[in-house]
Amino acid sequence: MSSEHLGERLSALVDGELGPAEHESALIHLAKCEACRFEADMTRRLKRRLHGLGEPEPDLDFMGRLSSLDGRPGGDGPGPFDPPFGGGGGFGSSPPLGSSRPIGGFPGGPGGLGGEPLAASAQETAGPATAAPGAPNPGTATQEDRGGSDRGGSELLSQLLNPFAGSRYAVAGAAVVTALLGTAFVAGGEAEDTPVVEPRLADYAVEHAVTSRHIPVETSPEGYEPPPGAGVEQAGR
Amino acid sequence: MPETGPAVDFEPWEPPSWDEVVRDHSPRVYRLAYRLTGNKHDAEDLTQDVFIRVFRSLANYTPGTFEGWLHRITTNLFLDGARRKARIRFEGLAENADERLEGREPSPAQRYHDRHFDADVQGALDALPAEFRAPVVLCDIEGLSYEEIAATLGVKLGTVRSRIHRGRAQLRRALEHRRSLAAQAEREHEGANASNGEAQQ
Repeated sequence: MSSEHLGERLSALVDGELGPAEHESALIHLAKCEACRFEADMTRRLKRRLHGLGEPEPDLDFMGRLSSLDGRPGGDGPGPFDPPFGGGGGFGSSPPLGSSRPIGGFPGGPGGLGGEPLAASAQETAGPATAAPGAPNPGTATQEDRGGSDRGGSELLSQLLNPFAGSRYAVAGAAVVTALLGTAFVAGGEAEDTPVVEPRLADYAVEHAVTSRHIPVETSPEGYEPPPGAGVEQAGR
Repeated sequence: MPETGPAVDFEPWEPPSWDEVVRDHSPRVYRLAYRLTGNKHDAEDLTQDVFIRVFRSLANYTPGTFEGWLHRITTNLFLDGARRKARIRFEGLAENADERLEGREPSPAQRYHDRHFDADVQGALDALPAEFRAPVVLCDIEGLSYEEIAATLGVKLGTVRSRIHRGRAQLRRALEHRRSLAAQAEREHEGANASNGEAQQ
């Protein structure tokens, strides 16, 4: 046993992955075997060298692109890749659609009656006809509205969605958000048609717990708790 | 009764914001991706693929297992990609390999010495088959235990041990090979210098 060279156990020894008994016997072997000592030394050196490799940092630019993966406007724009489900508001981290701009397109800007149609259209999702009671002509109002400069981040969104007239867009937007939120939270972000990563996070969590022995192994009840009658019976005989 | 670790400690949990996820996890994923793929471009592609999947699964986020899961999907996506590439490259392998060796090795000796220390190790890592590279990177660079690597790769503990061992053996051979090639290049370079001065620069 100890006359054989360590082989694979050498790597495990260097990594501190041998059980106590194996570890002991490996050390005993090392003390006698120069070849294995040399191997162990080289393995340690290699390990140190690998460990000493620099830590490459992702570019800030690249991290910005990752941040915009959730489809919110901002950063450097959509970039070379599209959001996994094409739309905004993935995790509710972005402001509600339409909240930062007057819906129904009042030329006067965000003040005045501007907020009211928003509230109305956000609550009622019946259709375009119900929204914006105060706006006689949503279509033209939106065009004027688009010329405004006080919208900041939502500008991009409204450009994306500009085929919709103002109030209609708000209703449609709310519906889209609802649908997206439904997908993200109810279905766990994994709709049937999206490819599922292997393994799913939930499966991995269980598997990992088992592998790393975080879950207590069930001991059979008979092990330490005999049925009440058994002991008495035995004692009687 | 063993203590319950963080893996089974299910508290009411609010998923972090996407920006937080990117900020907290992308450097680590990128570093692993870089060591697995060996270059910036592929590392960015791999990292991006990982985060697209993370994005889809964020609702399942549980603290404690998330990091391990990231290791796992990064490694799995890398291995998938490596297998695909291996099929594509199969025909042109011989010439490519020769070109790469010749393009790199006869470079002047100064440039070899000036080259970053990392490049040699990364080059040797790149030469390692993906199945061996992944466990070695996870063990020696990421500092994972054999158990964690087994969970990450979805293989048995014994397989991890043998792949790490064989991977390291190949890595050492590759490094020795590169060293001897470099030494040879240096000799040739000195010879060239002796005959035609600093023409080679």
